[in-house]
Amino acid sequence: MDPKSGANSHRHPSYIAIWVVLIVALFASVGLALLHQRRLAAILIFVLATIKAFLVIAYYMHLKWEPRFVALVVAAGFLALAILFFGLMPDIVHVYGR
Amino acid sequence: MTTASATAATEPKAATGVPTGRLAIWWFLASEIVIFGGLIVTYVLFHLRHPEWSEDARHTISGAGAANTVVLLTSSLTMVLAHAAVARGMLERAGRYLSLTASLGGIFMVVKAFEYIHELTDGYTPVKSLFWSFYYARTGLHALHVLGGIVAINVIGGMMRAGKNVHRVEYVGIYWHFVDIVWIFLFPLLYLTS
Repeated sequence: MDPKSGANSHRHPSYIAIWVVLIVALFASVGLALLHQRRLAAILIFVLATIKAFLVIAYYMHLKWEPRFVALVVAAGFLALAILFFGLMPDIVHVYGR
Repeated sequence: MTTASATAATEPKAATGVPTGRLAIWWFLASEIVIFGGLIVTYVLFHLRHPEWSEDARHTISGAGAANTVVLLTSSLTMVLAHAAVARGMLERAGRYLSLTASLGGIFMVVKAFEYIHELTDGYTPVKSLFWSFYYARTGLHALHVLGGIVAINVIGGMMRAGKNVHRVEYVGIYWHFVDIVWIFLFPLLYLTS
């Protein structure tokens, strides 16, 4: 970080190269959906989706170069989501689902 | 490739050292994680108890969903290129990238409208089943965010061309990438794995 301006000066991979990886991962996901082993396919598809999301967050949103505080802000969102998830799970899965 | 936020020096900063506007966008997105994430996790939880939803999901149009994913991923590329152009002071080029991003957002909306028309005319309305209620709620909320993004890109693009608040290109970019990430998860959930 530039101490005078507070600006982030950094080197990063080519944006176009990242886009190519994202598109390849998308087509791989579509191909996996054709597998007969549905459970395995679903797991692999969501692993690919998570990788795609990570690439966008890290390199397009530049979170990789933001101060740690910004990552904590994002983590706060996921913490609130986790509380929502575990709060709802008993009602939906064990009560509503019967 | 090297970039620097050339405009950051003019931005007001919070005590954290992060420009106030950028920090505000990240806080906003943290709240959006709960909104979209809440819809996604409740869908997943319900789906665990309703395997019959897989039959409903077969009627979504996977080709259109995949095409829209390509469109949104490409719009994220053009958006980050706009930000990089601003950082280098190339405002004219940044303007072209912003216009391209907004146009790709428009294409996404047109394809989504085509899908909705096709599904509604086939009888898959929001009240047909819980799956379709989830489908329309989540894709509709996402489409509203895309629409809001298109408006914001045009407004901020206009400011940038007038030489005002050019740092806001980065802010609208962060928002736009988030909308892209939401679709990255909605696409497999609704079109590929149900």
